[in-house]
Amino acid sequence: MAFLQLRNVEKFFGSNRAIKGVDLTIEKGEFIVFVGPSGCGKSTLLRLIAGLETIDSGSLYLDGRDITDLPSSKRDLAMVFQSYALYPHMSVADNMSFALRLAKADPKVIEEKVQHAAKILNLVPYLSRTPRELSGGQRQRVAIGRAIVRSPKVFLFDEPLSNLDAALRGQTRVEIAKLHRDLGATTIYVTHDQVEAMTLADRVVVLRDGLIEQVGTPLELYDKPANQFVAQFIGTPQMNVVPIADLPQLQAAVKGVPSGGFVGLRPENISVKPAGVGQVQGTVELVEALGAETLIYVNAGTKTPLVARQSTRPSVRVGEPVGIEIDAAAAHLFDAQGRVARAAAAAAH
Amino acid sequence: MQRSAPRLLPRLLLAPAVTTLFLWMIVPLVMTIYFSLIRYNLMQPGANEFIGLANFEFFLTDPSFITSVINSLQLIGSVIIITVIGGIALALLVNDPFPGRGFVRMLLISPFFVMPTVNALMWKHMMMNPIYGVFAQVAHFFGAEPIDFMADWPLVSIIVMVAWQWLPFACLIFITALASMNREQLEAARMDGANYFQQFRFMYLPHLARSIAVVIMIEMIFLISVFAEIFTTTGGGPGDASTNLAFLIFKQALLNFDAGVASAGALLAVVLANIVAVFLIRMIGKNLD
Amino acid sequence: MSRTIESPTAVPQTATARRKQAFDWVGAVRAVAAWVVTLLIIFPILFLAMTAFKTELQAIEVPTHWFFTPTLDNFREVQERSDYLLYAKNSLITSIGSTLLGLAIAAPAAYSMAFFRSKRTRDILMWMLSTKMMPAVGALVPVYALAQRSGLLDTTTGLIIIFTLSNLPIMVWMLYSYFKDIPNEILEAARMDGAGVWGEFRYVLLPLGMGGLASTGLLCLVLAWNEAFWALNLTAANAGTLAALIASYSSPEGLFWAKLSAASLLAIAPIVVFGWFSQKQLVQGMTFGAVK
Repeated sequence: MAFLQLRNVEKFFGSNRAIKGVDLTIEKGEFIVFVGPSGCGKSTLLRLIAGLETIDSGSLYLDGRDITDLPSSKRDLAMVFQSYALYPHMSVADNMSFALRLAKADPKVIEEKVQHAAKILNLVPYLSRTPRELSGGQRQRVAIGRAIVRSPKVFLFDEPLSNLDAALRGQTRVEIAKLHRDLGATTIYVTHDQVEAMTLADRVVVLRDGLIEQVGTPLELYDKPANQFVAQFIGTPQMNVVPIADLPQLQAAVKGVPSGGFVGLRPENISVKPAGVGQVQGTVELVEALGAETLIYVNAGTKTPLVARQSTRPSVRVGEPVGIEIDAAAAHLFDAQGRVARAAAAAAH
Repeated sequence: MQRSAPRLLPRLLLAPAVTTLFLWMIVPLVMTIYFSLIRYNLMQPGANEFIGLANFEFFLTDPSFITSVINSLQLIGSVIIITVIGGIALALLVNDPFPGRGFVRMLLISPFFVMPTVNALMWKHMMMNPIYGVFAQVAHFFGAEPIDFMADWPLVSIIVMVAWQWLPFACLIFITALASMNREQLEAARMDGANYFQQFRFMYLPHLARSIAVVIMIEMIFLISVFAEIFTTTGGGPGDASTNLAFLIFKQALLNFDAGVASAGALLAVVLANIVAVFLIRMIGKNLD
Repeated sequence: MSRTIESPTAVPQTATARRKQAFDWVGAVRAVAAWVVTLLIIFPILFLAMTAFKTELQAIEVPTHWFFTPTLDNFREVQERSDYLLYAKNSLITSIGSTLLGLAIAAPAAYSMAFFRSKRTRDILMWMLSTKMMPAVGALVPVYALAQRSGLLDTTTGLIIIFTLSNLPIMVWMLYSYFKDIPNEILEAARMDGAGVWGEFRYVLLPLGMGGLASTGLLCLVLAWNEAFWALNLTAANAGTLAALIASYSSPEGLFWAKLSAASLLAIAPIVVFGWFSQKQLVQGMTFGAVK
């Protein structure tokens, strides 16, 4: 039975149709990630679920109840804001216990829950401090603690890691994953970072322009993107998507490309060979040696260079003529509108 | 915003402020317009017939009218010039840190908080009195004749009082504006070889342009209504030498008890103020978001 | 030249020594000038304060005596004068009263505009501003007539109403800008935590907005206390404020310098001190936020 369900939800800002009819079903205990470029509506969708914006048409169900018109305070949802939104005039302990105090819960129970959450998040030494005295990472943990203490039906995260520096981001990501494993709570997480999406999600919802492009597990999205947008959004570096017209040489190897369509190849499915070998010829434009792998940018006469990924150290130099060999079985075919015509057959790497 | 708490709540909250201000604006205005078109003497209530624009004519043809307008302009203009130039100079002087700067700034602002009536009397008796005022003593010290400010230079005296009071205001505004100056820009200019005057002309002045405009406009609005100082010291005189527009209206209303003429004059003053206000509002509006 | 960092200890010694010898002449001159100018500017106030502690004879002596034994007689006599207390009481009542009334009206309005912004919010704010810009003298006749008819002439109630109306635009503006500074997300967090509108107000808005309310109140207090135009015109014997009292001292007979100075000092001292603490609010309030 679906735990959280959105049915044809729409949202207008003035005349701007920000959310254009979204249907989504979320199971209990799932970790769902909303991902997409800025302005795609992922935060708006989250806020609609939270009740901080009103749904203009459609409905929202939680645990069997229609909560479409219910105010935020009654939805039993907890949100972790991008800016943490801690109460500056309250101590950490008071911040975390605020909701329970409002609900007039038993002070002993409140104390217990706050202590428990503080222990999980390593906040015990900071319980009497105010947010001003905490670092960014600590504040973030207080924001999470505030949500945990309430044991809400769903956790909502709005880009919680974007204000942290890179090292802290990676660390906190791991902690959030662990938290979800331990608590098993239903979570909706919004981010523009696809690495977070891929690592944290049970299922990923890719949004663009107020519409859902695709929903699936991270690897489903990676191996079987439903369209060109998803294919290029997921995966770093971006999938090489080339109009077949620009590289007619590929038509021999990759059969069945719709006319006016595109061929998509992930960097790991392209290998750099000596000049003369392979389906396409070109010159090396840039070599990025990352240590564990190397990225080679080859100018083959297409609008953007083709990116190849190899797990060995650089073997070519800039300006060298090289050949490109593609793994035809791993090619994604897209029609002229960007919809997938045939997904890659082989998924193993 | 919750669908359950519709537009009603914010409107209710706004209502008291909006209605009271609306009444405060409309009622006096309507009444003033009405009074300006009738004969209305506060000492003879009841004989209020409609006399059209006669009040306006009377007010405008009053020999004191032109004088009062000129005096108003002189007053406003001089005070503005003194406070802007003095204010900038002072602000620049106290801009860089020095021992006791915080204290100095606190002291500097004091004149602005002195009650206008105290201000007036302080200057009239303590500073400007030709017998025992401070200026008189300084004059004696240098062997010169002390000046009877109130009698011989009434408008100048008022200007001095008002300027003294508003100088700290302008200074404070400029200090605030200077504080937001981009230090790095100044350092770049210095490295480019700019000396102090060049820095002033090309860096400080443009940055201050906005606050100068604000100071000028705010002062224009408040200085039109200068009243207490004139009331307490010169009473507009001798004759009408130190009567400004506001005082003239007051004279008509509460000394001649001619509310009709006073209202006509008041409308004139309101129109003038409106013109300035339009500009100021436009400038502030840009800053709203 | 490929000299790398070497003998780091050798250089600093001489540099520090050299630095100590270069005296900042410009800075010193500036500091002295600043102090001198400041003292000159506030000289009248200092002189007033000094005179307040003199006897009447000493006060009118020429040349001025800079050294004298201070006396508190003037202050005592001023306070004993029954109408001084009345006037002081009126000043207190009208400034505190108009401040509280003003806050009560302005705060909800500012809250509404800060957190329930609509297309019209900006226009309403601008309009409120414009009401402040009309010269008071423009409303003199009608207000006087109204006050006369409604029996509010020469009453503290009448003054409170007028003061509140005069200062309302400034108060709304200042409170609006303070409320705007409270991040909306904190209120949203409170909402998510289960707080209704009242809860938001009581637990988040009030504690966070207290500073703004206090600053605005302080400014209003200052403006009402110093208000002279209406105080002079709408009051006679009963509701006169200190501003009016001082003005009445200016009649030719009965000029007692030292007492006048003492009365004046008492009248301005609290406000000048208040003013020292509310400088920032003053700038914001008086310029309606145009200068930050």
